Amino acid sequence: MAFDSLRYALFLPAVTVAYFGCPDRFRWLFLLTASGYFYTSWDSGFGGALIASTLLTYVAARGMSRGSPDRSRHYWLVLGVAGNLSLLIAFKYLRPFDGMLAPIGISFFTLQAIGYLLDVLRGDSEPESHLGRFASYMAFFPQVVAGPIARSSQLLPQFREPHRPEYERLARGLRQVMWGLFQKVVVANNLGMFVDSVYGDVRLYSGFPLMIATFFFSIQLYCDFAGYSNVALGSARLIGFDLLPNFDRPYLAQNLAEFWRRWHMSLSKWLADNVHKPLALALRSTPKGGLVAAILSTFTLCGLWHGASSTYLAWGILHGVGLTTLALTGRVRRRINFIPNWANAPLSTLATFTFVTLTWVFFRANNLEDAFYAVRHLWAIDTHTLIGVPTISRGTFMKDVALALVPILGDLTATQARRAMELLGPSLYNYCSLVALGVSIYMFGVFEKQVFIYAQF
Amino acid sequence: MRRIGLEVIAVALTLALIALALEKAFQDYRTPLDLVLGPLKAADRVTLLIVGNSHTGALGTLPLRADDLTYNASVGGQDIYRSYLVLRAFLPRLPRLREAVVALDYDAVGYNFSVFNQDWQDRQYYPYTQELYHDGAVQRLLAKSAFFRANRDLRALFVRGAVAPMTNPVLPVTGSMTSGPEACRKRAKEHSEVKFREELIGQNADYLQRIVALANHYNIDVHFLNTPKAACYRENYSAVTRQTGEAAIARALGAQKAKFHDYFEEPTLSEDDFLDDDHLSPAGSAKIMRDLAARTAASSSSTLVR
Repeated sequence: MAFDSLRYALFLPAVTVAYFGCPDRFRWLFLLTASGYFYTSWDSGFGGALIASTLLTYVAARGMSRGSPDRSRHYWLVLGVAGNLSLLIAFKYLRPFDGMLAPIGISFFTLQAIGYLLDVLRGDSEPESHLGRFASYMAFFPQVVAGPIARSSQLLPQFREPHRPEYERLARGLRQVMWGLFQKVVVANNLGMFVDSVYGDVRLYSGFPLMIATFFFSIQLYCDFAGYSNVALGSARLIGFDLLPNFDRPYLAQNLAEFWRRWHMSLSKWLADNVHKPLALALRSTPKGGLVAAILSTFTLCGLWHGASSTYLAWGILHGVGLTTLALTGRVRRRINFIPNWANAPLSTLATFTFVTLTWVFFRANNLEDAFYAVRHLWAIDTHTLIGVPTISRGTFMKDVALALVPILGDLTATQARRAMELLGPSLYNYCSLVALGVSIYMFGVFEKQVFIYAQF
Repeated sequence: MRRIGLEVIAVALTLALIALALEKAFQDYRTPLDLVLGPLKAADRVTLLIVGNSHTGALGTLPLRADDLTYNASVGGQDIYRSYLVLRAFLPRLPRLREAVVALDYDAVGYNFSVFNQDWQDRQYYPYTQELYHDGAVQRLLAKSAFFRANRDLRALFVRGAVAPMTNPVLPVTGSMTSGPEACRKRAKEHSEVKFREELIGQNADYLQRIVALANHYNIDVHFLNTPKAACYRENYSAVTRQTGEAAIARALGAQKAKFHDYFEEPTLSEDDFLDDDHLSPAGSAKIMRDLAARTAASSSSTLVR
């Protein structure tokens, strides 16, 4: 049951209404049932890994309760972390059986489970004693498939709160769901057709088509994943939950470090807290070497987390190298900065966007050879044709260019647009936003099968 | 809850009204499929049916036998799956039909237009064929909508009698679509490389066999036809695709009671016999139909004709 499916369009309002109609003390059970239905709707055989991860994490966290001897706590931690990692490696990377599919969302819920155990160890979270509530937290339908990866200290307590239907929250949730659907169905899906045409067999293209496809992929991926995250956040908000935001206008970042504070924020935060910081701390005796090792290890891991392929690995390493360079050259860059102040911000944003977009080539290409081919041939400008993709007409291309500008302009003017809309008053603002988004989706949405990119991880 | 409920109802009603207004505005919209398949519903005297893409479209309504009443139901860009659907939908309605000519280029066995971002065309077939390649509740709903069948062509709101554009022209092919060696190279490359996927061969072979089974069921002769292509097109056509396509067609049709007439490299044709690099001119079409008539009169057994 994908977020952009008809089934979800029926499921979400039904769950929202039923949730508020359900007595407080049974809400965890209702959510667990709804989430179980949602999760197994992808494939009924998928539940096993999630149940195993939930039980293992619950038992390990209980074993780590305060008062337990340190040794025992560490023993339970190792058991919980190793167990979850084993599930991830076995189901996602090894796949011992032919034709075996990785359970959907396994990269996300195992990370969430490990994060919870580390939170408990650090004392940031109390171990949850109620297995049902903990299971609801692990299987929570808005974020089980592709995040945002929850912090236990932030999300888990919300399962005890008595949520009431509040107009402001419901209206905002609805708008966020619709905006997410617009990002996915209108922008990402339309651009995805161009990108797939080129990257499906990248060696048939060079120059402009490749350049445009790479730029489009940058926007497609952003709108696909930010769209997913917005539907997740909006869905959770409808039933009274607040999830951590996952994106904050990432392509306006002025350097790579800032980009990672704005892109897939829940993963960045998880990696920073649970991989980078402990590593940097452990290697603090050699400050520069330790920093380089910590950054490179973190981003290598980040690449591999997306999948066991050389393209993801290369993508992760490239970002690691970029961040390391940024960290080590701060002083030099400040000294040789000859760019006037007024141009500094836009040029920095452009440079960051260009670097990030070029690295997406590795993320999107079918294999490493294709990625290197694409990078080499991006610059081979063919003046005979601007589009040169036989399966895309000129009119479609022009529409795609316009759509690609929507998220960029949207990010640049988001605050002003929201303020202007708020002048209409809450009800009219809500009505106009929902109608405008609904009409745009109806007129320009692509409803053919295009899965959410991050739902595959 | 009540306030948001009322707002949601207001939004839903507004959207429903807009959707209804668009449906009304597009109710008379005629898609290319309406132009090609619409009249065939009433053409029950047809004895020769030509089905396929723009390559067979260029054959026009030439007869194979002297007393043939020919109907050309070719649609630009049509794949084997849709050819099968069209035959399945119309053979029961054509009691006098004796023969069918079906387009079969080498690359057609590795092609399906739904795989190449043209699912919207599927909706235009739906009223006639009642089947969708990517089936599902939403897709069926969209296929029933006049607005979506028109590929949401908003021009129609301003231009009366608009027809949805297709990737390739619909019958009749009236002008040169390509010119010059560069355009010719791109077209050959588009067909034989960009739009060819080996993983589609299995399903297309299955549809070919289903076409033969249909023809047997309705007791008609089916002739699969690879139309002639100009030298420039042939030179730029992928040798691998040609080889793979030939082998796949031989495998699929070898044991069937059907004939594959391969004119890809036809030495008897001159430049004047081509409208462009891969479409026959009326003169070229007449030559091929005469030759095909002679061949099909002579061979009645299960053969692959070269």
